[in-house]
Formats: sequence, structure tokens, C-alpha cells
Amino acid sequence: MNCEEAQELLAALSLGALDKEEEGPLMAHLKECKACLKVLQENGRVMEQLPLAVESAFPSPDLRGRLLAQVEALEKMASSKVGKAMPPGGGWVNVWYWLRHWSPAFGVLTLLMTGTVLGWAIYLQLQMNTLTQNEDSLLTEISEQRMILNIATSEALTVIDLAGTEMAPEAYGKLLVDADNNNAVLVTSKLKPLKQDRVYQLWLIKGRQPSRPQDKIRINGGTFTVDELGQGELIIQAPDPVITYGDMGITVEPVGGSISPTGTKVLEMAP
Amino acid sequence: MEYGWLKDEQIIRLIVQGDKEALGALYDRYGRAVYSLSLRIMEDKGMAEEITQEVFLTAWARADTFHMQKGKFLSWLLTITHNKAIDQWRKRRRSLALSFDSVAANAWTAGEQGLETLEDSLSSVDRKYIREAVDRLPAPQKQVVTMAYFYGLTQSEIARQLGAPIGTVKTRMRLAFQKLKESLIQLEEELKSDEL
Repeated sequence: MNCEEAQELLAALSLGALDKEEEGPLMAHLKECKACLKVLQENGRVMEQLPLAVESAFPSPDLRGRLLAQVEALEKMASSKVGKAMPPGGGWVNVWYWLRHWSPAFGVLTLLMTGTVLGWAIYLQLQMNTLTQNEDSLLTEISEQRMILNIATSEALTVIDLAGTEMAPEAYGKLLVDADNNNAVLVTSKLKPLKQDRVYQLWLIKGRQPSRPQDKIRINGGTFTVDELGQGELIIQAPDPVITYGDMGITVEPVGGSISPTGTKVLEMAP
Repeated sequence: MEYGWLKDEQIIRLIVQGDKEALGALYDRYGRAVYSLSLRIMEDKGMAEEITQEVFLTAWARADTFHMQKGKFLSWLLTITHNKAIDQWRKRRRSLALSFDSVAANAWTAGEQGLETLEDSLSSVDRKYIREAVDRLPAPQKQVVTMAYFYGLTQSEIARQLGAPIGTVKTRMRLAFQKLKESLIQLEEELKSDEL
């Protein structure tokens, strides 16, 4: 793709109107071309302003009260130890409640993480004019954060718990899976930071038959590292919907990952 | 506490601390902007209010993840609003037979409210600028931007709807953005010279 072709698509990228098949070539071009990247950054300014052009309208006078009442109700439900009824409302409200209620500590952690990436994704889209360096990594990040945003806000969101093995009893993790496609986000906590030549590697496993362990097919789900709190994240684009894998695990592997597991297993699917 | 005088970052700090009235103050400040965008996309008051509620609940749950130095809080809210509304709209539009013939003419009005002077905390200058910039677009360019932004259509979907070659749609979109950028710069300069 040359600059002329790329610039024909930049407005569509900013507007979210780019056809999927054009995204890859355009992103590849943007990695190489600072001039086109600058145009994209300038488009961010328009995107910031565009919603303000809409004619202002008044919501019902009681909407404010309903909003605060809903917050109140959610807070009460979240702090209550009895009653597992879901709150009214859909989408995020339910997910938020679900996470907080069923796994309070990690629910909050996961929300914070998804909130962080949401904020970061939005920031990246709106504040492109601050991009002056590291275009390569930022472009990758934009693409990844968009995916995380899509998964985290998907109504088909499914959460899979991962528990620490004997080698890492305090560690835990969650897979946020978009049941509508092959994408997922892994978040972990309390995994030990590794030496520089080691990474954690996720394995997606099919053919879980205890009687025939040799039939298991292990797919590389990607590698990641963790910070000093043991928190890490990984975006997964699996060959099949992640929800169809019967088992999964995380092992310690050499940097770059392994073809099949060679190291200690630290996380596995919770029973 | 009187919240009206507080800056966004101060209100957000209070929200992080669990102050529900601060959320109310944030709603007072930006509720109309969020609702207006939702209503424009959904074209349904009830659904627009649901989305507005969801947006502010998101703000309540995740205020601590917003970094003021990295962007404007309103932009953050409106991006969430746009994403949620377009998601809903895409689901809804499958069941609707749409005509895009008159899209450009009425695209930027939110309903039967009519033009009004704004009394919320948004900069009316900002609104005026971007409105003027959009109004200055030639109708075919305004139409493709509108179909993408308010209806969540891709370039090929727009081409299909309009019965136009996709190359034409791409060019119109590019020219529209180019003109919007130029108009915004020009209008800003006009404002500066007025201030001097």
C-alpha cells in the first residue's frame, strides 16, 4: 500500500468505518510512514470534536435520580453477602456485578484492568496528536487495545477462572472470553516475576480425556511477563473459539516460548 | 458541598472516593451531551436514556482509570457513549429497513428539540465551531461521514447503500476530514483574532 492509497483510508480508520480486509495493509503502512501517521493523529482532533456537533437534547428530568438510585442499589448488592439476584440493566452492569459478587477481589481487579485498558484505548484513539515517538509499538497497542475493548464490552463475555498450582498456590487468573469469536484476554495476579530469560506461556488444550492424555493437543496461546505484583495480561487470538478448549494451563518457558510445554505449570483451569 | 465550582479532576477524585453526589454533579455537567449523542444514534428516547445510564455507571466504576493529563474527560465519556450506542444500533438496524436518502439533511439534529442555546457546561464555542465545520461540508461528504459516524457503516456498506463506487466513498470521506480539519483551524484562528 502506498501513501495515496493509505490516505484514502485514514478517515475511515478514524471513524471506525474501515472494512476489515483493509485494516492489516493500512496498519502495516502506518508502521513505516510517519507522514500518514501524522494525518491520522490530526484526524483524532476531528473525532474529539465530532460528537459536540450533535444538537443538544434533554433527557427526562428523572434520569439523574434513576442513575443515582441504580448506583445505590448496585453498591448495596455488592456489599451484601446474601442474595445473588442480578441487578437490573444489562451489559456492563451485570458483568460488573457478577465479577464483584462471585469473586470480589479479582472482580475488582479485573474491572480495574479492563477499565484501565478501556481508558487507555480511548486515550489512544482520541489523543493521537501526542504520538511523536514509538509509532510501531503504539500502533500495535492501538490494535490490541481495540480488541481488549471489544472483548471487555462484549455482551457475549464469558469469564473462565484459573487457579494456582502447587508451584504457585497464591496465583490466580481469569480469561475474559468473547464467545462470539476466537479472541480472549488473560489477566493474572500474584504470579512470581521471572528472570529475564523466562516467560509465562499459555496453553489451550483440546481433547481432554483423562484416559488418553496422549491425545491432548496443546495450542500455544502466547507468552507474557508479569510486574512486581505478579499481574500480567495477554491477548489471545486462538485458531478456534477459546470457549471450545476443554482445558488450559500456564507454564514457565524460555523467552520466545516453546513448541510444547517444558517448564513448571503454575496456573490451570479452576475445577 | 457545592460541586458546580469544582473542576472535572476534582469531581472525578470524589467519585473515586465513592461520593455519589459527585457522580450526580458529573451527570449535571455532561448528561445532556451523553444523552444527545445517544439519542442521535439510537433515535429512541428510552434507549438513549438506557445508554446514558450505562455510560455514567461505567464512569462510576472506572473513574480511577481515567488520567486527566492524557485527555479530556468529556471526550472519554463521549467515546464510551459512541461505542455503546453504535453497538446497540448495529443490533437494532438488522431489523430496520433504512433509507439513507435524506441522511445528510437531518443528521445532526437529535430529535424534535430544535436548535437551542446551550446551558450545560460545554463550551458553546466548541459546539458552534464543529457545527459550522460540519455544515460547511458539501452534502455528499457530509452524508458519508454521517453514515459512518451515526450508523456505524463501513465504507463498503456505505457504497452499497448509496449505489456508489467504493472509491467515491473513500474520496468523499477523505475530503470531508480534510475540510473539517481546515475549518476547525480556520475557525480557531477567527476566534483568536476576535479575542485580540
